[in-house]
Amino acid sequence: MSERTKTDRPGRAWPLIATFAVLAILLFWAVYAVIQARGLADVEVEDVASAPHTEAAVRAAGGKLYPVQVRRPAGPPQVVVGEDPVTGATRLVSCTTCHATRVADPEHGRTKALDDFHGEVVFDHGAGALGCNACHDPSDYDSLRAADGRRIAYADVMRLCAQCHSRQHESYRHGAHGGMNGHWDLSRGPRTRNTCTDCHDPHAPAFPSMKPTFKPIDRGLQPDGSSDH
Amino acid sequence: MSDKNPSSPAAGDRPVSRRTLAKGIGTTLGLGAFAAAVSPLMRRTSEVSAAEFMQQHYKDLSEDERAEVIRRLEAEALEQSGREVTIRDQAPIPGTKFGYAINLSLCNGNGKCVEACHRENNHDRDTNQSYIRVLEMQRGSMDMEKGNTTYDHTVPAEDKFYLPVQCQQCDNPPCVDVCPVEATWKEQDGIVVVDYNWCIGCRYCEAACPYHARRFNWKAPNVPAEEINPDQGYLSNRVRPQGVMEKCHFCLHRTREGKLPACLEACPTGARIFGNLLDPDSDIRWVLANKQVLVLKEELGTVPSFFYFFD
Repeated sequence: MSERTKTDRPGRAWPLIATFAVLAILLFWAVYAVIQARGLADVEVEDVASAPHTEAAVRAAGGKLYPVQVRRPAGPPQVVVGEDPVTGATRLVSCTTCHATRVADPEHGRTKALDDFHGEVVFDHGAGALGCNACHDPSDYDSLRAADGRRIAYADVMRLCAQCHSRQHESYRHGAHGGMNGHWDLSRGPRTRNTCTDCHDPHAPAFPSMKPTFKPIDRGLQPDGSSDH
Repeated sequence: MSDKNPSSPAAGDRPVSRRTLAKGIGTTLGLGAFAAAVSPLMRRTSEVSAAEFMQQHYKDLSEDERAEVIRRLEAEALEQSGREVTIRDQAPIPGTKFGYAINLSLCNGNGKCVEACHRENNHDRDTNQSYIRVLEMQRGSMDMEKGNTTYDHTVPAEDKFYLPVQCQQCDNPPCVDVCPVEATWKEQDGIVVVDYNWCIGCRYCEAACPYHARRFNWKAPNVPAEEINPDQGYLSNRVRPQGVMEKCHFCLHRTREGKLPACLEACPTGARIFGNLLDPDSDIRWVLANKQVLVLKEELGTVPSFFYFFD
């Protein structure tokens, strides 16, 4: 009797596993369809130069308009691996140099937990909810990865940030977030704008504290309350 | 005995009587004191050229006269500082009214704007003068009179926020109303300007401004020649003479050429937004339409073109 039940069990489990598999596939497809329909996977970071607010300026300038250039990272970052023994120059390697052979361990989602490399990176982003692969692409460490798995080049880092920080990005598109230089009037000259990582360390994005270095000297307003009268 | 008699003939032998001596000393001291008292006036008069003394109000100058005045000022600047400067007189851009907004959620009080203004506008180096003051404010209060400008600790401090204040370019400017000689007025693009050659330095406007935005040149600004910003405007950042008022002019020598103000470019937090209020698609108009903006001392009815918001 006991022998028969042992041999029967795997046989009876097969339909159950198949059903679960089909359900899982259906569920995945449904979620994907919903995401597609809502446009969540289409987080578009428009070229700010083509943002609507410049249209009137285009008309005023008779079609001629200087560009708004958004600064971009030069490309994928490189990691310092020491000095050249002969020339003494800093040796840099691209991410894929190591990651082509070293498979990232998803269990180690924090820089502090890493044995070698990246351990010095201060990570304070997302209140503990994010790990490395929330932004870095484990299949190609020379690029970034959106939440839907699509590849994002380092130069397009704003697309990555905008998927969570949409309010800041909306303000950015209207010139109300992020520093800029150049012209307010694009019919008279160009404008250069910072990208997210110019001001925010992506691993610890809170804006750093600063020390005021310049103070006007107003009569009677000295910190110690003294004045020349 | 007779020697001591003042009416004796011997008294006539003295060169001066005590009374005469006292009168002489008194007169000499009095004249000396008067000369010392009026000497600044004499010195100042000798510095003022006949052309400067006869110069008319900015608005009454013809285009040729303005060009002549500017040539003279450039020559004087070269003579005084040894630095070649270009003084221009940009007119307001038609269809433009400038507006400024500051995101108080981003501003951290680092004061880079204060320094940028100082350098751009050829302010006195000795006093670190600037058109901007950043007030450290207690969270929950918008009373700028309780703000503190002298903080020097790491910013932002706990439970504080930072309120940069400069000329609010009011549509109803009390400073313009009180000027007895009309040396300050509001231009077409909303900028309140000062004719430094017409101002008599009475400081009424400084007293009238509820935003403490006007500055008085107690002395001629000291700017080392190599630090002088040679890109100057007649109504903006040319080096001011002693005894006149000055104020933020939205960097009109830059903004009337389409450039952004110096304080905006210097802001490391990106808290400053500048643009044309008459352009419905401008950044500043988007801020006014989409953020909860406020103006300082709204109850005074000054109608500032300067806005603040938290987000």
